[in-house]
Amino acid sequence: MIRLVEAGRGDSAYTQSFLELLDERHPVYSGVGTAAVVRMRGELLLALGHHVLPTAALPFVLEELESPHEAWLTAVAARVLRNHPEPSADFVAPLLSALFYIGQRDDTVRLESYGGYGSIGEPTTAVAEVIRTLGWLGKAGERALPRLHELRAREPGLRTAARLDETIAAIRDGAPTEAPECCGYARRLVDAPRSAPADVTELVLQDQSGELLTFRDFFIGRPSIVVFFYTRCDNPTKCPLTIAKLGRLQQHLHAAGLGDAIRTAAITYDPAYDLPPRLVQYARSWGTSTGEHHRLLRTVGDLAPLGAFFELGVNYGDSGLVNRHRIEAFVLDPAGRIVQVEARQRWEESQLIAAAVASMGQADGRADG
Amino acid sequence: MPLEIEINGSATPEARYIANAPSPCRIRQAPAAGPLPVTLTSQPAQPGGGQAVFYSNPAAPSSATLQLTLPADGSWVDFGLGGKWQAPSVDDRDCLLIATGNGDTLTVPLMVRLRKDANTLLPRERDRFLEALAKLNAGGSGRYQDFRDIHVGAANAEEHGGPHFLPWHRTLLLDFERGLQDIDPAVSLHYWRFDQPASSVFQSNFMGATAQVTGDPPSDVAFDSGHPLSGWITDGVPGISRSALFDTQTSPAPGPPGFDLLSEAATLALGDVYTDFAQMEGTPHGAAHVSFVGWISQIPTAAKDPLFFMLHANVDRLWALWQWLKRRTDPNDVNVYQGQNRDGRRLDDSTWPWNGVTTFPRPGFAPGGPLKPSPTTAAPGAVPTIRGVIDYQGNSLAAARIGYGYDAVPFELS
Amino acid sequence: MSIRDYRQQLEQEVAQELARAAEPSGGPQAELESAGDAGRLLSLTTHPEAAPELRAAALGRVVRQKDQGSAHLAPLERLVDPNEAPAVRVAALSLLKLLAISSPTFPEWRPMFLEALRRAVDEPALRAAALETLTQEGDRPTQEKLLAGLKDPGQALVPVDQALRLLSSDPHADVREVARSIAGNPPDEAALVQAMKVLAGDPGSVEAFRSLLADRSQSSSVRKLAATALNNLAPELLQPGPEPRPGAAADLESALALTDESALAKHIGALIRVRREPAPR
Repeated sequence: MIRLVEAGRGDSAYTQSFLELLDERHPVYSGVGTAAVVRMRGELLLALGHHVLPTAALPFVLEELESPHEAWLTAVAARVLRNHPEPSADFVAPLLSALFYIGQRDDTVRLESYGGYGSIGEPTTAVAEVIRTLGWLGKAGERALPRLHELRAREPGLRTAARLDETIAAIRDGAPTEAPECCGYARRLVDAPRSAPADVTELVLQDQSGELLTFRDFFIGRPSIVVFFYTRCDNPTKCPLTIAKLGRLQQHLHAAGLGDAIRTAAITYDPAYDLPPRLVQYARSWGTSTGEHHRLLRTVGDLAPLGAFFELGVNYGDSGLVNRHRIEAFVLDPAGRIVQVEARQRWEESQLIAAAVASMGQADGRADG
Repeated sequence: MPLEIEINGSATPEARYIANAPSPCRIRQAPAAGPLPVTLTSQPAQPGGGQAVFYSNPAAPSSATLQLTLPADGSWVDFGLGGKWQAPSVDDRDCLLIATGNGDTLTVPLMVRLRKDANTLLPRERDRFLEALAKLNAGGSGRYQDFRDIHVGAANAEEHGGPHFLPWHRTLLLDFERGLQDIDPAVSLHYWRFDQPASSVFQSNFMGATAQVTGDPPSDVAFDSGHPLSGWITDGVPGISRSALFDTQTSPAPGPPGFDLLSEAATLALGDVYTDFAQMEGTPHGAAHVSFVGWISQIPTAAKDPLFFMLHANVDRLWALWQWLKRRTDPNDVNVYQGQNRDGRRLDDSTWPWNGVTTFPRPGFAPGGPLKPSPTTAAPGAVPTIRGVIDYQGNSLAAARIGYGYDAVPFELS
Repeated sequence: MSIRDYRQQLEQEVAQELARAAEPSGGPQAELESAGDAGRLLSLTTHPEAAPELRAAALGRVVRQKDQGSAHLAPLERLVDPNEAPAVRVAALSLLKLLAISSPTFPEWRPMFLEALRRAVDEPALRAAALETLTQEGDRPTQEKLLAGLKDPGQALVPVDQALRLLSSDPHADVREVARSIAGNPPDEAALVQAMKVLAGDPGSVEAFRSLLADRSQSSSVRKLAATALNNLAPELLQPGPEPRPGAAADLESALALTDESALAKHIGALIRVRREPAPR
């Protein structure tokens, strides 16, 4: 893959190949360590954004900013974003998220070195790159000003203070822009509801209390909202936040009187390790409720049939542990068919609920498969 | 039964735990022909047991006995009950509250439950504490994980580097201790007194035999066979990684050269106002942490080692002792707490993660849910504030009592 | 002691402490105290004729006196200086760890700290402390170096058991395959123990742990760790057994073996006793 990246750096003819390689399901990530995955994805983003960052690459770039964990990868994302033809106000929230989270995990990186930690190139940091990109937004970054002023008021070190001053000035003095709202993330209604095959509907699952049930038992008969996670996820902006948001979504459902009408499920990517006691603790830790209609689930056997049905954006290292996954949420109609997918971007509780409610009126209620 | 007593607002055994601060109690007689004089006394249930004292009202000095007259109509009469200075319990129910009147006697067993110097614990106190701690961890799948998840780098600004450091950690310890007490109500979060040698603490029958190293990497602490903590797991990995840069059997924690760990007296001498005292975040607090190598020496991993909570219990004890010595208990006094103009640091700000706030400037996650309740007090509430934990014994406001205390910190200011 | 006497005692102690701090002391501290302000103390930290221990102590004093925005600078300079005495560099690292805990500005200088630590790995006297600090901060390049050393001994920075231990704290350090290989053919028991700790989170190692637990030729430590790992991965496979009585043994060897069995039984009993109660749905 390194040769491919080097050959295609900045060449738009390679854009489609690189985008395909950024799909977590690509076999290139199978059996590979987490560190190697990070390097591959970072080099792909650098190659894509070498000259002009294509709009199709934006979801991958913004995902790295919104849910940051690796300083180098965050720095890469911030750097290549500056090669997008058009700044957009939609970039502000992900950049501020990056500033908050990677600010506690900042590191010195060299973007010209493979993987970020060699000796080639000028040293920079993730925070420096993010602040610089906020300045690049110009007027489109106005929404960031209150946060930037607050950070400046905390009297940071001289270098950070200078960067913040420069960025604040660039935003304040930037030319007015009519940058279009961009970044249709990978939120999408599926083209047609996708039915679960037999090897999925009869799949045996186990919930956090140890109870065994099939996919059919839980997911057919009422609409459901499904998220994925694993208890050994080390990125607090991914799985812990997903489960916390699921808890808030459940509160909205109950407040609207839909707590029994719409089910929620959080399914683990790591069923061999995430046994019921761990599921119980994880739910408790991050604030999601469990009950008749709201469960944390693991597959008793292989996850693969579910993985294929949901087209899960996850891959595993040679040790069997998740080496990379995207944030993803699904809405299933009462027939257990996938009708909406939200991927990469942090999903909004209200939108998932709306889609689930809409499916109640549209599905014919018959089970397929 | 002609006499009835409630402690901490309840007649149930779950509420029969007091600290040094007076717990609200009340007594009444069954409706009778006339008023009934009663005498309240307290004595240990066995030698070495706890003993209580009485307060006729929150502002009154304590007394060893209390005479009350109970109305004939069965109305309640209030009184306060606190631990007698330097007479804490060792076991549950080893302190007796005795009410006698007109030939009737009502004896209520309770516990004067205090956080103690861990180095002085009796074996059975130590073992109860360890058992509860191990069950909280439950081989890695217990609620201990919440506390491990709270004390991580992404939440650093909520917890360190400012005036909120002390009240935030006081709240953390309270939540932790209540978690232990959900398992065994007779347990307290005992403190490791780091400015003195603590040879009993660093043993294989307590917090682990801890090797001394100079430049070598840390090793796991060693436990006796069958020790409750021998199955300790955090983040899916067994063991506790901790070695000391000092001889734990003969020396106090030293701190780095030139940045020595302050003694108790030197800590109390930091100043008369909160802003000066709060410097203790550097030393002795930080100095204690880096007197080891291993998990406890760095923020991302410190809470994996249960010694962390005992270290911080001593930090909190020092603050409590300073508050008592300098009479700094009224949160409205800026010398008692001086905040900063940032969320989570002002006097009336609620405290993350118990407030469940996950919008900027707080982290996007809030592990563990609201603060655990206690059957002994309603304070500080499910969503604590900084103000709510400052007057922890209720010296300035009785209702602020949050239900714990230290063996070495009195309640009465004189 | 009455409460009043206690108050008096503490007040006296505080007064003595304040008086002591105001008086110059004798001995080795005298030179530090005569240096006075931070500027002169700073000079002392790099004075070529001052003993390393004195320079280390001066560095600590400098850090105590400096404001939060700059306290880290002097120890960072000492840590990265390859010509500095190891004792001073070790003290600098300890001071930086203290500031990392207590200073509100740490997030800003964390990048410099990590860079300095990576350089400190090259100094044998600092290697263990630097690697420990880096791995506890989750430093991926350091993890990769340690992993490379396990795969190719020519690149090893530390012994096998130490490398495994450092990598064990992060499931995403990708050391599990190597740990499996080492567990299958360990160079020594220390390496086996550390490999087992890594694999305690590997569902694929359940059978290996069952074998180790049942293997009486293994040491008590190894068998106890196997039990702990099974309790984590497949608790239903861990059952309490009768506790052997070493006193019933006929000879010393049997007694020792029964003692080990007894210890193991106690350990398993403790694991089972502290398990979480099953949760209602």
